[in-house]
Amino acid sequence: MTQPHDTVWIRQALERHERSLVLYAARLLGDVERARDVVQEAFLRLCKQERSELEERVDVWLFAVCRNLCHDVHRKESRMTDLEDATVASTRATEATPAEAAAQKDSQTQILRMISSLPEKQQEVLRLKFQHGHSYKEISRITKESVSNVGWLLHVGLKSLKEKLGTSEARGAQA
Amino acid sequence: MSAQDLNNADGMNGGSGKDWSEDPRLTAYAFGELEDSDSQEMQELCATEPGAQAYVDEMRALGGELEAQFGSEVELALSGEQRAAIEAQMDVPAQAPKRGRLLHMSRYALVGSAAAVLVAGVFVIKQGESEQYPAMLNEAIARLEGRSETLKRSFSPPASDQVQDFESSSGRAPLKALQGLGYMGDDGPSASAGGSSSVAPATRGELAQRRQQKEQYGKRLSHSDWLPAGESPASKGQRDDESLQRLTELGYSGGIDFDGGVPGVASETYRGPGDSAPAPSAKASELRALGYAGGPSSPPPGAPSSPGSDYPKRSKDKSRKELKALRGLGYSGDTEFYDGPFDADDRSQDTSGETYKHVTENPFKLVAAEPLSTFSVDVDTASYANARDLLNRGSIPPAAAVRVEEFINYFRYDYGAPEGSDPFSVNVEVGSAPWAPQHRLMRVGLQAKETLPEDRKSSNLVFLLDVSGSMNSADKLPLLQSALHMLVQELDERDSVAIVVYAGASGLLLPATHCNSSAAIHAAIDSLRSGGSTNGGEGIELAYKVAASHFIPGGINRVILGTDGDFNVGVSDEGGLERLIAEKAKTGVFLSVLGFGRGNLQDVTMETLADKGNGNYSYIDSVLEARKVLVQELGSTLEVVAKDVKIQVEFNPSMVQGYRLIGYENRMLAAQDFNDDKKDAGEIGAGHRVTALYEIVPVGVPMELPPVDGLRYQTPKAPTGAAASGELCMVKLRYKRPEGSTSILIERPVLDSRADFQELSANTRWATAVASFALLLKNSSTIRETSAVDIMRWATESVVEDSDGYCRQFIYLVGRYEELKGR
Repeated sequence: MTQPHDTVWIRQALERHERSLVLYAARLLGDVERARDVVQEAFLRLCKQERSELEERVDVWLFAVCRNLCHDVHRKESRMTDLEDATVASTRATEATPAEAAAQKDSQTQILRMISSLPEKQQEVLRLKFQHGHSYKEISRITKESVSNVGWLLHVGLKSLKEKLGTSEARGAQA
Repeated sequence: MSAQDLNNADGMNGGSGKDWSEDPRLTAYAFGELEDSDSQEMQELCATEPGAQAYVDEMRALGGELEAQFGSEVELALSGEQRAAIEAQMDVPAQAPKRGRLLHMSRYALVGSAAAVLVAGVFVIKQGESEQYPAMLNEAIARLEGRSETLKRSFSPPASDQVQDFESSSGRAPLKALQGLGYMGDDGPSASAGGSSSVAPATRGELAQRRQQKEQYGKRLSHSDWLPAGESPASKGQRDDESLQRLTELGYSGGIDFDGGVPGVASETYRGPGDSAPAPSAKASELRALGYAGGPSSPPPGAPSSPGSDYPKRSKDKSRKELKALRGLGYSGDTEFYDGPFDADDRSQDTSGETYKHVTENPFKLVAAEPLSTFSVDVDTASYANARDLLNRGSIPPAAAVRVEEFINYFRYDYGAPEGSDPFSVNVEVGSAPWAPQHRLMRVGLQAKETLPEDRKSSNLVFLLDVSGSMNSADKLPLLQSALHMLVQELDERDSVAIVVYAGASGLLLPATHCNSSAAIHAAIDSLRSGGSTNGGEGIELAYKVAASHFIPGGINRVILGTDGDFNVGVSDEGGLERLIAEKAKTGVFLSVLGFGRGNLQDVTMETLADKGNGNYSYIDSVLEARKVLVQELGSTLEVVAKDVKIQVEFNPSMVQGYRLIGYENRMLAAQDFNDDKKDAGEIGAGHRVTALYEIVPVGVPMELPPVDGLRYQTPKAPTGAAASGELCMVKLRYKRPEGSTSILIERPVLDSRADFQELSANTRWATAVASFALLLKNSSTIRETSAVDIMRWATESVVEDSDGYCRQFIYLVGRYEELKGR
């Protein structure tokens, strides 16, 4: 089957971003399966985009679309209740295969647990920045927050993490 | 932000940020996110304010830590099907209205498919005290041939009162013998209600469930896996031991090593026809007298038959009763463990979408005209497994679906291990042909050296899996998944596995992953879902690419295609695909094919592809067949010990007038190809057996071939001195070592020992029985008057040991054929 049009860039995007998008969406939705569906849909939409019409980088576009789709899912399922982080973690664990869950558990280090106690927006921004490597500007495009708001969220998030780390160190490592 | 709190330098650890630390710009600065002017300001701040610099450093450290922590999270990919949907959409030009949502939406519906039912009934005999087998055998044959009314009556439904009936009319022993021998009253609903339904079924759903439990991942399936639902593993294990011990006491010494769910299982759950009927009573000693002595190491397991458990519904009157007699005759299975036909209703007989290539049988040849017979070995077995599945589903296999050599080679023969450095031993035997006593039958047997599991080479396996919509059937994708789980459990840190899926388009589901992290592989296998149409061509290119990029020099590099057959090739056409595969085989990446399911089987394509790819073609009709192919014969399937193995027989015109090679029709080579090392031929894997039969017409016996006129320009060649040697023929073999390119020649002159058929080894008699059955299925006239009963008798008499039940299963299938034919 030959492609009459250029699909290499989509393929590359799929290769590069599929996994981080699923991870990102899974965090937002608290459900791996739905996250996969959302990511699939995002890529399907990407397939319908002319490359030249994409105004931003493909990955930023994909993250933004995923985020919108996640919010759609929330709305549709009237599950807009703010996902308490605990729910996110636990839902995820049950949705993941045993193998994934096991690995998940191991990597669920102190610092990650602390992150999951931050407000949702801060978590999201922290992840976009440090997990997915997006710049403030890109995060702003994805989340539709202003750049300075992104900066603020990150700043506050990091500071409270630092505080928590400090107190936990002071108390002696709490499991 | 002027620096104010000088004394805040150490305050950061306590987190009591003061005002500059309230400035998000400092954080942004730490990560290089500030514009020039702000950046400069922060730089100055840090220069003048040690606390600020410390804060920046700390933020950077924290950021680094977060990156590391987040990076350790398990990444989750899309399912193969989702990727396939996306890739399908890629091929649609942008702005096209089409959307790939179908797959996306249907997935949830498909998740449950793995729960479809596979009933694996497992039965075990109990002790009894019945009479000697031969008497029973004769009785059964006599009855069958006499179409005895009594027999029919006595074989009618197996409710216990009727069993009584039978016992009084025909005597106790025969029934018991029959039951003990494995006849479990597969006669109709009442039997299944009374007996078989209570018998140890394990549904496929349970198997699937089992996989979901992580602790199962590392474990091999064992017979306990075939026990009834709801039993704890502990009690399973215990029961296994108990029943095994019991069997051993009974003299059933077989199968202990076999963990395919055979012998030891569930004797407690066995009920004869009617729960109240006394325990059936075939003694193991009797079994032994029959030749079922079972020893720990013989014929391989497979997907044995279990008529009792699940095919009763189809059975019908007359011929069925004959069948029972037949079964009494040879169907002496003490265990019924066919796990095949998913559920009875699922057994569609729609084979209309399947394609088979008609093959004309090799005709008799005159030695005067063609003294040389040349062919390539073939170790495939798919045709037998496929025919078995069809028969179990109540269809007689189409003649074209039967490849005699694959029937013969399905079974394990004992030809003796090779000596010295030869990769295989050669063993030839000659005796009379049972269907034409004046003719001689020559059996050529090769046995390749075995490889110990620990000596197996590292492998680089790329599974190329069909996840198109047609795979959504209990006997396809879920079975494929079970098969893969089993295989992966056999692999270890030497091995890597990658999975490429194809449907509407193809994608890499699992990049090459070492088998020490098998959990990831199992998870990927579990994530397989079907949906979409088939485009095999692209997938195969991707699979080869992956295989090439992880190529292990000197190791096993193989693409394993799993499909129900539809293989719409993106690689232009079938010829192109074959060329691609042959080309890749030359680079050392071989191709094996696993065929699944019904209705769509492209038998020819699959066999051809495996042939071109120097690999094997197997048809997987059941979990047990998967086990046979992927677990028990892992070494054979993967590890080639000799390649391009060709056989050439030169017949001695002083002794032989004519001959025919039975089977191997699509493996025939021209005489000159034998010495041509460029000509591709079959591969032999570790432990493989290859058996070929020739029917030979000696000089002086009338032949039905019309005589050929004498030649005008030539005189017949004069015999050489060697022709007077009395040798029947010279068997010559050529093979290459796996990495070699020059062939090695082996020659064996053959003398006719004048043996009768009965005097031949069990190997030869078994092969003859199997070949005859294949020929019977092909409606061949070459075996003359040979009937199913003859075949069952030959087979029964040549079973040496059958710990894993393949022989019983074969005998059962012959009876099954007879039954179906009689309808």
